[in-house]
Amino acid sequence: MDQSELRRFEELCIQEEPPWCQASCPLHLDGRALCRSVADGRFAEARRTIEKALPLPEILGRICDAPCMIPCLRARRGGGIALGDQKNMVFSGSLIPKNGRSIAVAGGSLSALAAASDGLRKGFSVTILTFEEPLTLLLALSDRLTPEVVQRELNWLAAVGAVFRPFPADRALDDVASEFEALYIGLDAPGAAAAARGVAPLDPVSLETGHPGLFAGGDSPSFIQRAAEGRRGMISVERFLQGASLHSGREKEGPFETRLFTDISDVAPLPPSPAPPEGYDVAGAKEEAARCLQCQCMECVKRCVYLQEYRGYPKRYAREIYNNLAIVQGSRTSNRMINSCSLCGQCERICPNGFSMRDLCLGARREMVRQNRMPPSAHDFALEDMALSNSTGALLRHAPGREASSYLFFPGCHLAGGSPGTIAPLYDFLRDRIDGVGLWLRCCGAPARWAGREDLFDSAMEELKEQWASMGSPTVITACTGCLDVLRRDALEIEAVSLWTVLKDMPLPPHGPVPGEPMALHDPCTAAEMSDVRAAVRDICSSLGIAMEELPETGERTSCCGFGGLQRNANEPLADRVAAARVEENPRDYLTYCAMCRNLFARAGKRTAHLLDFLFPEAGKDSFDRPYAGCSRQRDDRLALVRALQSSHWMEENRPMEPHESIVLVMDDSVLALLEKRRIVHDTVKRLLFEAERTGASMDRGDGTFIASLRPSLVTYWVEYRPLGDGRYEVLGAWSHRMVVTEGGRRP
Amino acid sequence: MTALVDLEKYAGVTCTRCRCPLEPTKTEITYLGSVFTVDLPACPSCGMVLVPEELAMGKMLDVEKILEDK
Ligand code: SF4
Ligand code: SF4
Ligand code: SF4
Ligand SMILES: [Zn+2]
Repeated sequence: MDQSELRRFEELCIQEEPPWCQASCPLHLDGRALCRSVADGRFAEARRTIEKALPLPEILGRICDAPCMIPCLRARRGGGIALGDQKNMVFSGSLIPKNGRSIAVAGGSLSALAAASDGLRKGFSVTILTFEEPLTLLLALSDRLTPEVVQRELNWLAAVGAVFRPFPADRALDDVASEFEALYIGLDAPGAAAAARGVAPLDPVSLETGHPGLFAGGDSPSFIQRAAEGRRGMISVERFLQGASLHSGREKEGPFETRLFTDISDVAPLPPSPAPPEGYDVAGAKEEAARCLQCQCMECVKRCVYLQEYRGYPKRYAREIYNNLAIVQGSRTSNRMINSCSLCGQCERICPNGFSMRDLCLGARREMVRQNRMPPSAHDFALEDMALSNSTGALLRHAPGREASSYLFFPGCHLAGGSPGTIAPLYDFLRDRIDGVGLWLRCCGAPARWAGREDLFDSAMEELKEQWASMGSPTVITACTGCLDVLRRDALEIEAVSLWTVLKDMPLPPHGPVPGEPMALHDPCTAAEMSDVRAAVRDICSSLGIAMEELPETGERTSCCGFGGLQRNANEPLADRVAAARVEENPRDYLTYCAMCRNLFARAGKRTAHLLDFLFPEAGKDSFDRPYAGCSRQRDDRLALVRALQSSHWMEENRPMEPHESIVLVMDDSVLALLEKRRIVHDTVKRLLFEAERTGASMDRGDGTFIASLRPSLVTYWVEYRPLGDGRYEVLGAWSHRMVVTEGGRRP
Repeated sequence: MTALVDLEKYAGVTCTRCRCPLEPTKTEITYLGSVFTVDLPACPSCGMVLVPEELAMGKMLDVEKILEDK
């Protein structure tokens, strides 16, 4: 990812845009922060927020005409927040180091004093040239200002170094100005306005006059605008002293339109509690501040457990990922974050600007692979699984007794591994209804794509396309929307359709009873961009007489089950939370049409059925009662399915069993669970035991139990076992590591 | 990683092939280009090394993760 790509991503996420109050405030007071502090009763913090933005906080805090109330988002739900009335806070000054530049302001009212205040904060030595008494001018502005308040503000200016001096009435403005490096005239003081006749501001952005170093502004009916022009003038003074441009990059100094998005569709109107004439008391200010909506976007984050996990939002993540990719030496702390996104695309469908974490994370993964920086442990288990599905787990046949296919049924690994029992009846049903349907068991290649392995993905796609062409380029019917998504994106020449759109147009098979109670329908994330498939599923459900409820995020906004993007491989605890959050959205039993979603919801303890469980129920089995199929079960079931179909449908000899496959493992539930958790598949354990027996390489614990190891590729596996005779072994424990033992001994 | 394994625990374990009791042995282990030395039980005759569960699933796993993010 290069800088410009990072900018492109950053530009799309508007979470860091200011809220409406702040964008419209001429001085950009952070009303959101102010309301939060006031509502929580943290008044010192509120004061700091005001001081940070306002040049004359004591005065402006009381008399600001609050132009922010009109665009304030709350205005659309009851009335704008009364920020002006909340700013009734105390202000205290502090010493600011001087930088040796000597400037002046002319006029003793809001605009000049605001400019002076900003000038002092910038470290200038500021002289305030007065015509009328500042106290008199300021008191005349509003009844809300008392002599004490105004005097406090004036005292602060003096305390931090401002020098008050009457303007020498006998001298011309430019003559006086020549004593200073630059001068700002506040036109809201009558005397200053008179003295400045003929030097009116020529430019609304810089407030420069015809005389270099002389700036003028503050001629506005709005108090806050007068102060804002004082600030603008002082910024011009500073730029003038630095020899910098007076115009460039000043678009956002005054009020501007924010790009922030905040969803208020569910916000109930709440009218303001207006301030009494004497101003809010603490309770009143808190109540009003609590009406603030704390405007922010976070639309995607609210719905994605993964985005919540890292406590930020996409714009920040884009920067973190960019930095992570740029690290040459040191820890790449964002690797796990990059590998944990489920690449489901929900965020880009929700974001008002279409920000895509999927593109960001997938791009980053590909780059990590190219840099040879992808942690080997992140994906290799899934990639091995894919390799198995495309070798001993694969099967490609024309329909029994046929020499050609006009269709190929493609169940996908998850259905083959998670619901092997439905595949034969479903295939028979299709053959019955459609002429010339072949069968194609293999993996679509999604794991390689998700792992960022373009090399593996491309070669898998090439093989897939060759096999498809060898069958006479038939139309592919996929049971899994994930496979369909891959084919539609990356195998454009293959005509691929969803099983659900095919079934929808057929008389349905005779089927068992469906539950009387409604079920909540979960759309798999891969169906989010397939409205035709989602509609077909709903049609089939109503033909079956299934009553459905929609989940809060459904259809194109649906959430992932935690399998997508290999999230579960990279971050299992997170994937468990993702599934848990999804199954908690509705107390009803769930219905879905993705075998992996069903499996993972079952794992999360939710009664979940696959739609095929109702169309092709297994005799005597409750459709909801299938337990979670772990990684070993899925592998074994996939291989067993190939064997079973080969004999039942094509009367073929099965691939001869490998010698280790006849080993029988005996283990209790805790060991089964341990193996599942550590992703040690039973086939590996059998291979290991077979090798240990064959070579005699093992360690004898002297009590009838042994320890042996095997390193089939990148991982060394260890098993603790007790031989029971007749090829049966009790497995007592198993573990693994990736490190390689190189010296001190030879590897077994 | 030197003293990470409670070698006492493996005192009674023997190499099935050589019938020799395992002995603490300086062993080099590597991952992604980094090399470490650790005392592990090994057969003095054929050199077969035992990587105990507590090491593999504990410190070794931590180090693997750190190295993978380097
Ligand atoms: S939806 Fe998410 S990515 Fe889009 S602007 Fe909002 S916070 Fe940013
Ligand atoms: S609701 Fe609060 S954050 Fe939003 S614009 Fe109004 S004051 Fe600002
Ligand atoms: S998991 Fe899905 S919704 Fe969440 S960031 Fe990734 S692609 Fe977006
Ligand atoms: Zn030995």
